[in-house]
Formats: sequence, structure tokens, C-alpha cells
Amino acid sequence: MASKLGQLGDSILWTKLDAAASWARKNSLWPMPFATACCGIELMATAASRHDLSRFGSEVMRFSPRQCDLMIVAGRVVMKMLPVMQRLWLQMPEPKWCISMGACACSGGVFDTYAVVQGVDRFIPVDVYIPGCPPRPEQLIRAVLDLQEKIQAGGTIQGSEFEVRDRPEGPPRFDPDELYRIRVRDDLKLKSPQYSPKH
Amino acid sequence: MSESDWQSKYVQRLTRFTVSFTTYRDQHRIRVEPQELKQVLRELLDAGMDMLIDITAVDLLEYEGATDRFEVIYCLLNTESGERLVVRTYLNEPDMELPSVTDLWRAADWLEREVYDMYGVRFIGHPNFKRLLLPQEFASYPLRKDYPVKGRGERHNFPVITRAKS
Amino acid sequence: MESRINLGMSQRWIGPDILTQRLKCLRYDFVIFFTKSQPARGYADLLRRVFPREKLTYGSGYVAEYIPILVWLICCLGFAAVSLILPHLVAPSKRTPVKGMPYESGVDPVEDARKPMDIKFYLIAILFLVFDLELIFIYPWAVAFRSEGGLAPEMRPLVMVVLLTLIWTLAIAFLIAWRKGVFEWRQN
Repeated sequence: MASKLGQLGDSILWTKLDAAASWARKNSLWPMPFATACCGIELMATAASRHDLSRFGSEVMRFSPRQCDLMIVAGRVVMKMLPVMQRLWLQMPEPKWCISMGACACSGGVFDTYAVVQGVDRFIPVDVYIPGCPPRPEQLIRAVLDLQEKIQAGGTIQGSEFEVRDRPEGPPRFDPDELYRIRVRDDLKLKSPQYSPKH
Repeated sequence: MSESDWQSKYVQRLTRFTVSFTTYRDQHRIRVEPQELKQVLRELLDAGMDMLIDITAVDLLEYEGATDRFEVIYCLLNTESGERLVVRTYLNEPDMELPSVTDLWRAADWLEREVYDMYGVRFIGHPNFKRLLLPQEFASYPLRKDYPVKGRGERHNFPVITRAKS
Repeated sequence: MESRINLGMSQRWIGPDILTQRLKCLRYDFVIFFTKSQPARGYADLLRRVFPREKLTYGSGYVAEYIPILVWLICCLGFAAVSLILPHLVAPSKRTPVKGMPYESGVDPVEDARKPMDIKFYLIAILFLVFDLELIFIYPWAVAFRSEGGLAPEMRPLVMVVLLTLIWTLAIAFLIAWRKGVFEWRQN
């Protein structure tokens, strides 16, 4: 269905419909708070009365991915949590976006250890990054506004702007020094862990 | 409680084992051979050490003056008198096996699994012996000193989800 | 005899057969609702020919005042229907097996959610319901018992006997259930 509609091109009706759909979507972003660490506290503060994320239409934090279209990864994600995060991301209905909140979610932060994933963008597509440790609520609001701008600028009603993002967008999965350590592991004849998360 | 009471209460019961008893800043430590660990711990339980506080381990790789590689530590507490006792045993790489003490203290269940998870000490006789914190597929033991801090690529060994596919 | 169709809420019916009038009123309400439009007017004319004795005034029925609400209702339902149906037609949607999984915070589901429950919960619920229903009788009785314009004085003993019979019956049933061990939660 979507591909057929995509062939209709840039007729005025469809661009107007795109704009209307994007307007509706950007003003009713429902976040899924994937809060694993202290950034989650700032996320709560953002939704609370002083900063009041509901002024921008995205106060409806849902704890089920089925009702969300914005995943806010707030905090470090460890190796054991990553399949969970990927599954939650896959369970969210289209269209969906992702905000990577804080230094740990963006790059692993100071936790450069064997268990902490060095940036969730290696494994799921991220739309907006927020620096900070933890970021202030204003920064999260800024990110939501930026995301709204992004949705309004490039959003289409049938989600064809997502179809072209078919390549990994973050850094490569393994860093060069990590590849070296993997070679050492193979020389040590350690069997490499075979994770099989069911997606 | 004076030192002699202490000796008579606990150490005298262990004379048939090859144990060495030391005290450092009011902390009483017993060094045990791994073959006799279970009997010693059972004797101490009968002597009143009724609570297992912790089981942990230390990797003594490149440690100054260390003769053995691993040290497994049992912290015991007598809940009636408040006395504490640290039982230590030493292990080396090929035979990393100890008897499980889950039948003496149920608290040992997760503690032994954690020690296995981080150091690779296998506890024989444990009712549910598998990794506690790390994924079951994890291949190495991360708190060993010869394990790199950044791991050997385990943290990033996952499929990448692109936006078009998700 | 001639009777008037209602023209407003305040006017009372005066007629020999109130029930018949009420029924006709309902029918004419329906007609008057549409009398602003020509076909309905024709239908009303037809009705007037069938029931010649009633006087029917066009477009002045009080139901006609509710036309804005009808418009509002149609707008609401239309908006809801469009918002529900349009996304199904144009919005992106990908049905994948992982989306259909049961949601247990992202980890693998461990057990079936449909487990048999202890029968005691149902017994407690039924016992609660019995006394809850009893309250429906007791409360109006308590309100109307001695109040002005309430129960007639000669009816009071009868109602008292009836309700006390009800209460005692339920109380005895409650005691029997108690003795049978409905409230014993721990199995010895």
C-alpha cells in the first residue's frame, strides 16, 4: 500500500496530507521511557510540573511499546539489556523515533567496560542525541522540539522517509581496538559468545 | 570475648584439619585447604556460625608474594554472639572446583553463582548452577585480572537494526 | 375532540387518553424533527391526513432545537471514524512476529497468563454481592421510613417485616457459609 502511494509523487494533495500528518504526529509524540539510570530522573523531572513536557504534546509516558512512537533511551544500556531494548524498539508501531539521552546512551560515557554498550546508535537508529551527564530537562525539551522540526520537515504520511534509512547509522559495531581484542580471544581459543535474541 | 575463649570455641574444634589461624586488627581468619573446606565449614556451622554473610573471590594474579592464583573467601557470622570469621581457601587454574555449601546455608545459592560468573570457580553440588548476572552465552570470566576491562567484544556482539528494517 | 401536539416542554397534556397521546407525541416528535426539510414536510402532511384530529405545527417542535447537537454528534463521530480509518489506509504499518509477542517488559514470556484461580475468590465475591444488593433495599427504606411523604404509616409494619425477613435470611446464609469455612484462607 505504502509503495503504491509513494508513486503518486509530489502532488499537492499528498504534500498537504504529509504536512497534516506530520503536524499531527509531531504534536502528539508519546514517549516510551527506557530509563535505565540517572538520566531517567531528569526525564521524570522533564515530565513533572516545573518543566512540563506536556506543553509540547509529549507528556503521555507509556510503559508499553505498543502505545508509543518515541523511544527515549535515558541512561547506560548494558549488554544484557540491549536485546530487551531492541525488542521494545521493534515492538513499537510505525512511525517511531528515538532520542538518545545523555552521554552514556550516546557513547557509553565513562563506562568503557566489558558490559556497557558504547552508544545505543550502534544497534538501533537514533534520531536526536542529547549530550550531558545527565542532561538538564531543558535539553530534553530542546531535543523534543528538534525532533518535531525534523518530523515536520521530512515527514510523509506513509512513512517513506524511513524506507531510505536502510543502512546502520551509528558508528561501526566493533571499534578497531575491540577487533584486536576479539582476535586475541580467538587465539586464546575462547569460544565466542553466540547471542540469539529472538526478534 | 577474649582470645582464649575464641580459640576454645572455634579453633579447637578444627584441630583435625590442616588450618592456619591468623588475627589482623581483631579480624579472625582461617586458611583452609580446598579439600577440607566443606568439613571445616560444617564444623563452624555446628559451633554457632549460623549465618553466611558473603562468598567472594580475589584474583591474585601478579599480586606481590602470592603463591596461588585465586582466593575464595567465606564470611561467617554468629548471630547470637556477634562474632565474625573469615574462611579463606586457595585455588589454582586447572582444578577450579569447590564443594557447594548450599546445603549448609541457603544464602550460598546466588553467592556461589556470582563467584562462578565472575571468576569461573565451579561449585559441585549446587542445585541450580548457571550464570547469575551475565548472559548464559558469555564465554569468559570478567573479574579475572587477565580479562581486558573493555572485554573481548562481547558487549557489541549483537545484530544491528536499521530503521528501514525495524 | 381536538388535541394539540406538544409545542414545548412546559405545556402539559390534557386529554382523555394520556397514553395514546404520549405515543402520538413520540411519533410527531420524530416528524417535527425533520419538518424544516421539504420531504419530511410531505411526510408530516401525510401523517396529518391519517390523524386529522391533531393539530400539527411545522418546525416549531422542541426537538428541532436539538439540531445543533445532532450536527455536533455527526461531526464527533465523523472525526473519530476518519481518524480511525484513514491511518489504516495511508499510515505506515509493519506487522512483524515480534510486534505480536506478549509484552513482558521486553524479556521472554515465561508462563501462560490464564491461570486457574481459587474458588474462594468467587465465593467472597458472591457473598459481597448479596449484601451489596441488600443495601439497595435498605437504603430507600431507611430514607422513606419516617420522612414526610414517605411510607404510609399503615404500611410501615408490613415493610418492616418484609425487610427484616430478607436481612435475617441473608444473615443466616452468611452464618452457614461461615461455618462451612468459606472464610478459611489457610488450608490446614
